[in-house]
Amino acid sequence: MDANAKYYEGCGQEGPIRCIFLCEFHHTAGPKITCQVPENYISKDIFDTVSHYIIPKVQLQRCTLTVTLLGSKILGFPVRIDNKKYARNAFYFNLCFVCDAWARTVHLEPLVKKLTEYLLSMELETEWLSKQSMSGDAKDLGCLMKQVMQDINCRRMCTLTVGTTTTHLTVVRVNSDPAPVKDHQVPVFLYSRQSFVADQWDLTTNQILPYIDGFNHVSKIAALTDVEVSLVRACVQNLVYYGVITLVPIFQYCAVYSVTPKLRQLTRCAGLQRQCIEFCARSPRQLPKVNDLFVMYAGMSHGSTVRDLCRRLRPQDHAINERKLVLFGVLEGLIRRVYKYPITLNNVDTASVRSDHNQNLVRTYNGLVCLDELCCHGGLSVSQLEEQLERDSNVVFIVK
Amino acid sequence: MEVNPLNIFFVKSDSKGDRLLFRYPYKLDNKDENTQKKCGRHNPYAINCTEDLLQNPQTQTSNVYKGQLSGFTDEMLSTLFAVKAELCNRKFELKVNDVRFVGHPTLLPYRTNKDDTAAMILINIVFALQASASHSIVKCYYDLSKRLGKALRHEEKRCSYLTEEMKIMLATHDEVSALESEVNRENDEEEENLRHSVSSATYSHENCGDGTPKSAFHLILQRSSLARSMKAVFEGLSSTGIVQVRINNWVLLSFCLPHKAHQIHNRGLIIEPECIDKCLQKLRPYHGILLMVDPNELLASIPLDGSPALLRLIKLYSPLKSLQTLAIEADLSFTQVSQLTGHLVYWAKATVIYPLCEGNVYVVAPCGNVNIHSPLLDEFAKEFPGLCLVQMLSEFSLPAPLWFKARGVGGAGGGCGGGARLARVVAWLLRRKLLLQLHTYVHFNSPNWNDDPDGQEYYCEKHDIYNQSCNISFSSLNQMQLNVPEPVEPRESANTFPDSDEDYPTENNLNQTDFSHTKPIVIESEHSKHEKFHTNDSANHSFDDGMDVVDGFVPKPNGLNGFGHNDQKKQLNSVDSGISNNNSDKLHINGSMDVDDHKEDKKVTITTRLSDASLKEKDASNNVDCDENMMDCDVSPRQKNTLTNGTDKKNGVSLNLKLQNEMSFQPPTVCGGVGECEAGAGSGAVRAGCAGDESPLHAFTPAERAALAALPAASNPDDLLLLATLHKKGYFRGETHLEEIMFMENVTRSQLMQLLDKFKGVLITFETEDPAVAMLYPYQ
Repeated sequence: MDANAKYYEGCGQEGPIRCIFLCEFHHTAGPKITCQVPENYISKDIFDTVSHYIIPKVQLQRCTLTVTLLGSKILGFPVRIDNKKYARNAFYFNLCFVCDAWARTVHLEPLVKKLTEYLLSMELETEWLSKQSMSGDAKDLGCLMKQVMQDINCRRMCTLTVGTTTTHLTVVRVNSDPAPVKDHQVPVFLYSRQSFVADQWDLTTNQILPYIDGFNHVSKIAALTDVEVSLVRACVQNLVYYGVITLVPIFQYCAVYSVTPKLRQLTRCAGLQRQCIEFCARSPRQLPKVNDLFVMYAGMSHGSTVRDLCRRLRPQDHAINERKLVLFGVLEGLIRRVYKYPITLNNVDTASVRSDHNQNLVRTYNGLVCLDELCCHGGLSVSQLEEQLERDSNVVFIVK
Repeated sequence: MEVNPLNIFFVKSDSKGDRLLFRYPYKLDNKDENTQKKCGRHNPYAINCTEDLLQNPQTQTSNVYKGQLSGFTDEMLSTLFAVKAELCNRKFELKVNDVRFVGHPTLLPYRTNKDDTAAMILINIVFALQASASHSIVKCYYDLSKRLGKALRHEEKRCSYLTEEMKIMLATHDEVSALESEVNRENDEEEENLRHSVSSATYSHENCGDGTPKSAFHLILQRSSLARSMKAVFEGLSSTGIVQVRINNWVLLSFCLPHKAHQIHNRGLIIEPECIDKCLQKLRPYHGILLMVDPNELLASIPLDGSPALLRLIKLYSPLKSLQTLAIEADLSFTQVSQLTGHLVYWAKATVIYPLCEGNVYVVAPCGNVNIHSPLLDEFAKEFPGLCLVQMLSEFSLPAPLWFKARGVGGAGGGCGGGARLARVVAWLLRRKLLLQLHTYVHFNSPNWNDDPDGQEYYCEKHDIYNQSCNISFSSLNQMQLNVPEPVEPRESANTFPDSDEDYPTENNLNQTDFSHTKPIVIESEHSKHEKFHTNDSANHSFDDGMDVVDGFVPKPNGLNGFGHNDQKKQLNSVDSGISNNNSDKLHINGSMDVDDHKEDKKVTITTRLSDASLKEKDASNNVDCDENMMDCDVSPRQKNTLTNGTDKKNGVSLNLKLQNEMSFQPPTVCGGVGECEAGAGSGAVRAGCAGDESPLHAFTPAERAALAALPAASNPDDLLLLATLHKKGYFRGETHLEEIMFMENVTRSQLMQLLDKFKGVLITFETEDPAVAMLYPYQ
């Protein structure tokens, strides 16, 4: 029952490959399974009911097909080789992965495609597939499929060598594209730096890696590493895609944070408490108390800046590193940043533009760009910019 | 975007083979566009590598072009959707590249026109969606397909509707293809085109002369009501997400795709049904609803056979009312109301809020996307002339209660017509999810809260330990700790007024006679034995100087050892007995019992105490002579006690609380005597609460008591009792907001605020949103 509760259709989890089979169109018998690992996972009856999705009509050749039927999901990439040497002047085949119906399979699609291409090229070169299917002895193919299934399920990658050709298969998590990285955002590692294999990454990424500490923002990293800021942005975005880092708002003493409902987890979860204590400590020898940490978080509200909070609660007296405290809170979702968006009241009235305003900045007071970003672009400190804006009665702030 | 359907198909499969009878939309884009798309992006500088072409012909990766389905011919689709009989009546899901087809193949008997023997026919109404559509969207579409299938099966059974409609469709197809083959005999160049799609392409035949587009689907749409229904379904889904179609003017099919429906009011807001379910689970009686549409329109849109309960609810609706109020007014149970709420939320007709009131605190929602170009600005200006949305939102930059804003806006905006208008503005903003309400949550800052992962048991254990320590050795405990939980004895104050007991009211006498028959007397006195000594001081203090000098008095009783206590207690009892001259002998017995230290049932003591306190309370408010009351209450409750024992036992604590409330509302202009009486009553309540196993004060750990003791506010027994009770009920774990506490415990906001202020040393407050309400907001 537990498993059922966990794995329902649409749970969005990945599941193992249950079966791999190769099926082809036999010139007399029609669609048939040439080889299957493990044997008889897909029975003849089931195969017959779904066969026209596996060996489809011409227009669906070379399309990734996924059909969810009878509790399993079958992924395939049907192909056809036109050649006079084959019985019907064409050789149709499809290598299919079978997963459970609840499993997410988008990440396997490129894999199926690549493996099919590999088989296709071998068939074109040495008739590797058709020979095996004609002889009825598909031992080589079976070994290959078994290896793929085992390796992909265990290690999520696989290296296949048949004769002189080699191919590599890796499962790549399919994520939606991360939002464009802004200059004022701060990248921070989600895992410990030690677990990060640096030589997997490109040179620029390696160059900026040491400066990703959770406090340097993108343009500062660019300045420190002497790398073009757009390159840094691209690298950071790439790292975000792979879930190595995430982006947090820049730490400032004038920043305002607000508590989220998740904060109450800190009162309950001992694991979270321990983590928080260790993370936010000024020194590992003197650990802060969890009450003090909680009081600090609880004090964060729309009205008070980090500076106010520090003045009031004196985190240094309680062995709390307030920067780390904020970082931890943001990473765990205990708090969220409250941004200030300047917005002009009447956008048509250009007369309101004062001479002391930076013309470029005025144009961006549209309610979409927050103060941090403006400061980062304009090279101003928040207080300077705020001072400018306060003087303009046409600009109001939306705080959210 | 991905919520919208790409296409709807209607496929049949019977003994004569499968056929795509209808699809909507049926206009296909030009063929050359298709081919361009298939080749992918063209780079004019790229070298076409021939080897590459040999090995890897370009594969088609997308079947969506300009938001429309492309690359499938009708024949292909009909073979795909005409599933084998084994797969009927279950979910059909097929994904091709980036298009997902979902349907529910329905097998149904139908009458062929020649003979009346029923044959089976398979119909499949399939929706084409973007493959990126989430699972819950797919599930909704599947449901819709299933319902359409069922409706058709019903209509076929009832009046052979399907047979008739299919006949029309097939006839039209044949007609058009006959016409086309005729034309094509003349125009050979169009033959290729025809082979790809016989019926879907729209041809304009110049040869024919009339120039009107002749597509089989176009004609079907004119001739067949089923085709029109399907078109309505598709259009409903892509415009509002709400489908209300009568199949064959008979079966009403109402369907809502919540992912889409909520976008009518808030663009980009995708609410999944699962999310609504979760929200409903968290729905409490203090929540309210806010209709997204005009109630009159909503009433008009409800079909005639709509639930009368729903109609009542909408008629009585107000954003100021809580669900409980609505339930009472509409004469429904809370379950019903919450189900109706869920219904309204699902159909995007309402959202869940905390009822609008002046004390509510709102801030701009983090997701509230307002910029100078957003259409909301104009909408707002139209709705509220003279007000600017941006300015309004900037007013909500700092969290403050609404009444404060009302004042502020009245000053700044000038034309804002007071609270009523502000309420309308807030409702408008809440509908657009531009505002988010903040609630204050309280967490009790116990010094060692990371030590006890699970609260309940820990407290219980502590409580036991504390009891023992209380009984065994007072002197061993440090006085600060003792000071906090020490209950206050009203009798003590009676003790200080030995002269006041001249005459009892007759009823009291009656009571006493009653009381003399009942057992609890003994219990009472036994109980008092435990408490007398420590209550002693606080009562004294409250009477004597009325200042927070508790600490000065505390050491005295603490310093007394067991023997001393006994002495004092004896003395007290004797005083008691002396006072009650009417039945002095009984009370004397009590006293002696005390000394003998009988073990009694504690539960009973609680209840007696409770009623004690409650009656005392009433007496205090009724009678002027409080001293006498004090004496009364010692005795009088017994009679009622015996009657109301059972009920009191259950909710004794909350009863106390209510009394406390009443007390706080007592007019301040009472004579000093009454004031003192009040204190006595309060302390009585404290004692009552504290007496038994469930006593609220025992919920505190010794360390917590120590922390509490340090606060001057702890000396006020009323406050302490309220705090203890609320703490015991788990309201201070950071999980319940003030409004919930107010609702559950029937306390006022000012009371709570005062309490928070007084005990701010041990209570941590934080402001955040109610997760139940925030669930319907787009962020996170």
